Amino acid sequence: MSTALSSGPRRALAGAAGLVAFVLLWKAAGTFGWVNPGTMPDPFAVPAAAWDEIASGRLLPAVGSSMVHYVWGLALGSVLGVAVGLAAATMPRLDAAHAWLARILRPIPPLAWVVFAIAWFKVSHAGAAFVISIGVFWVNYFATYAAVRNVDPRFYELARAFGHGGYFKLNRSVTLPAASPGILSGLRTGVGQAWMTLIAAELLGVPGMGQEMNAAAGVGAYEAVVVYMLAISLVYTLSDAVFSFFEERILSWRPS
Amino acid sequence: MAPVLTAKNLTLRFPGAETPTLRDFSIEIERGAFVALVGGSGVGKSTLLRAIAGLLDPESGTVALSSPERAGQRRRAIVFQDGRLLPWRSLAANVEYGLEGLSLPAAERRARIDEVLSLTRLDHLADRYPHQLSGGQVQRAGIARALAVRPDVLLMDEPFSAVDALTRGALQDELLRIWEASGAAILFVTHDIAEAALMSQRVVVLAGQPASIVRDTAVTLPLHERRARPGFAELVEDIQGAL
Ligand SMILES: Nc1ncnc2c1ncn2[C@@H]1O[C@H](COP(=O)(O)OP(=O)(O)O)[C@@H](O)[C@H]1O
Ligand SMILES: [Mg+2]
Repeated sequence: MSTALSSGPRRALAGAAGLVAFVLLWKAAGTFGWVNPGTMPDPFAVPAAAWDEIASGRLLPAVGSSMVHYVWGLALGSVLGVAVGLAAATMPRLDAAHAWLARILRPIPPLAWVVFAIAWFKVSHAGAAFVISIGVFWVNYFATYAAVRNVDPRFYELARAFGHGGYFKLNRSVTLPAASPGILSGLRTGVGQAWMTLIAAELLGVPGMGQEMNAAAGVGAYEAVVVYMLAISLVYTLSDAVFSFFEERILSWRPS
Repeated sequence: MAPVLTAKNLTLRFPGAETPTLRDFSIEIERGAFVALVGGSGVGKSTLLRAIAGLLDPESGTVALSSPERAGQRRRAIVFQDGRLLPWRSLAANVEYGLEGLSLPAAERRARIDEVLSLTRLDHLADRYPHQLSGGQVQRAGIARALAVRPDVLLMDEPFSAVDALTRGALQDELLRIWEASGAAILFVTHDIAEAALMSQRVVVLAGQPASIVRDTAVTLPLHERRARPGFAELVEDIQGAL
């Protein structure tokens, strides 16, 4: 049975109420001094701070700059992750040869690579993109590897029965479409993962939302910090919506 | 009549198995014939069919077809028990998948798809995805895909065992009609003796380990409305006795 809260205006109302309650609680935390005085941003001052960041010409360039290394890091990590995952899952020799290497490299957090990002790329978009791409790579690598390994072997028997051979032809006609739900869900996780590393990657000094946030925090402008946090949330939500729009179209063959 | 397909001395053992599933197994399929292959579960019917289809390599023995492959044709085509449509392709695109292994001009491809879809009465469902089809429609699609490559021999592995009884009866009638229209020989695996007796011109019974032919009976009853004919019940009983 579906409750009245499962959809429709009542649900929207409940959502809004939750949000209002949270903001009030947040406001109360500042007003009644539940944390160190002066460290709790005032939620009611956030809109003004947002306007300030926009009017001063800091917010939009910061978003734009973040998007540059976000897009490059995401693209690089996604393409390489899917490609290596596919290759490892379909070529037994490569799979065996890379197994130890993957096991050693995998646990290293992307941010640990910041040292080399600076050493190799200096303070640049390329350096930040490099750090972002590492986390995205692993997400896609594992998702693709698992999805390809789980392709129903009966599809390959069918391919054989009708004379479909050749590594690339088989990948295109069977492996990739059969694994596409898993691969796409990896890509989508990567879209989020990239945002998770982005802010930290910018701590190496590349301009962007993370750097602006850091600068604002340095002068105690905590409302501005919140503005950048919300900006990240908004951009993530938009990019995820764009992604799921395409995902739905690509996977329209699946039973809903 | 001359055989269209000859399997000779097939021996096939699965890794780890003590006895081979097939040992020195031979069978001939006459051109255009409808041959039913019956036997208990696990006797090796699917294994034999896959070996004949070229999907399993026997340790020894040969499978030979009497005529050379014509351009735009596969001499053997298989219909699977599970239908085995690619879920990301529409029905028409699934039929096309069978043709993509052949080098055919686009117009010829299109024409063949239309032809087999109308033969299997699926034209109105061409754009549906497999999950939007019934079990019977999925099986007909599998048959359409196989017919599209103009096979000399159609290999069918319990194609109707997963559909309900009512649909099954309709599919049996339809397959007979398609068989008569296409001229291909059919090797039809089933564990249902009545189904074998109802549809085929020849019933081959497999038993034992390794599997061997314990009975090979010609069915001379007229093809349609067989159930009602005198002699049908006796035929079924006779086959049953061999098992
Ligand atoms: N891939 C396989 N690996 C090992 N044993 C198999 C395999 N496929 C079938 N067998 C065995 O071979 C025998 C024949 O199987 P099968 O041809 O599927 O029987 P049927 O189709 O008559 O029910 C069975 O004992 C089965 O367990
Ligand atoms: Mg079987």
